[in-house]
Amino acid sequence: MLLGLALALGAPGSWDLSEAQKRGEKKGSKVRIIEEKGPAGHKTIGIDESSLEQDAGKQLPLTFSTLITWDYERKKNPPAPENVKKLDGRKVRITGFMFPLQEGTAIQNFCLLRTTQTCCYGPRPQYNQYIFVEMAKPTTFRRLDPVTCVGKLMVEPSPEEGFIYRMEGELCEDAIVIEK
Amino acid sequence: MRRCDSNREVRVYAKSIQSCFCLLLLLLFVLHWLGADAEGCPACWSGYGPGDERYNKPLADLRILYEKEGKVALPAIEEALVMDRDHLVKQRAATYIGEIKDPNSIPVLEGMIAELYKKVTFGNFGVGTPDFQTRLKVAHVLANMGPGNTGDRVWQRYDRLDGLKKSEVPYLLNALNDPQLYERLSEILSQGKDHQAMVATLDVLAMGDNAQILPFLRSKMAEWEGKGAEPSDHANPDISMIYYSALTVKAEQTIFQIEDKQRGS
Repeated sequence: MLLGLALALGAPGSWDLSEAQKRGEKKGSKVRIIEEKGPAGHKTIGIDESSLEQDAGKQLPLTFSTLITWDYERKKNPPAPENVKKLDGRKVRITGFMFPLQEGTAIQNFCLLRTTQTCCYGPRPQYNQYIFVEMAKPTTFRRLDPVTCVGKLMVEPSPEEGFIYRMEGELCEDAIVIEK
Repeated sequence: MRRCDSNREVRVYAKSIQSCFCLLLLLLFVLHWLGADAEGCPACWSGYGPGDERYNKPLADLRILYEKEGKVALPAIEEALVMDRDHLVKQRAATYIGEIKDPNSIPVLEGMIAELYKKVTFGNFGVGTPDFQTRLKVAHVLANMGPGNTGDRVWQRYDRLDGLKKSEVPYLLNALNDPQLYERLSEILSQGKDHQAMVATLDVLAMGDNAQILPFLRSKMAEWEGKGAEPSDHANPDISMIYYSALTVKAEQTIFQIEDKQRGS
């Protein structure tokens, strides 16, 4: 219910806002949000990636549906498929939800996921379901609002550090949520 | 005749008040019952359910599996340790792995501890969390299985951890039987950067009986005495506050406890 309320109001609560966000500007991708059932049976919200196709922008548009094609398992350590390999080092633009890896309203390290499934006590996502984002400068943390991140994607399996995809983030903006 | 009517009116009035009261009680009961299950996701409750096997089938299933198959069940037990969302199941799995004592399980156990210091982690951290209780259990099991260097890996990443993660480190190093435990605990107190980690350090020292640490603790007490609350980093006052008066009291208690054990032995 709180999720719905937050979405309906589009309100980030008392979180610290950047100047652009204070002015109500949203420069991220246009995206539709859908309600889903998480692996633990709880309700989550996720990006409807088919709604992103109309919005390519200047950078290479990337979706989580591409990233999950690498069926990575730590024990087997399979090589990345060609469509994923060719993304290594490319500047990409991807929309998702933030999962913070540090405290505070302005964060530099976070994971970007297609859904909010890890919120609260949700299960750990698979390696191929998220990108570890390291921003050059701190960005405003959004818990339940989608953001569009632009940066250099590195395909570098580092399960000992907990990720296989890493992004050297340059910019992170509020996505524009479109109606159904 | 009129008196009779009046009595009847009073009885009817009393009856309706009684009915209203009963209805109100019933309504309160129904609301309470509804409220108990209306909110919350199943995953949130998984770590907090009763430990009694009557209410926790996966916990019972794990015991039955282990009793029936013993060492053969190790892959399933390891999977329960890593994948199950119920921390009671995870902790029981860790116990069984400790009993089976297969060296091949050591990387699985180390992986659980590594969740603390990986760059990307999705669990909950801090001494009050069920995740910490599981890590503590795993650390005890690892100490008995004897790789001996897991503490080094935790310590190497100590500086990059946030406050909640740092507060777990003294307990984990202690549970891991870290050979350099006292040097590392002294380092945490000397750094003086994180209040919760310092409290945890004093707590761990109080559990032991190392008299050699006493002069160091007394010097720290003298250093902290009379100080109030100060930020650990004066250049960035938002970071973390150190409450020196609380640390002084805690250090004094620690000294008493160690001295008590010395007198006892």
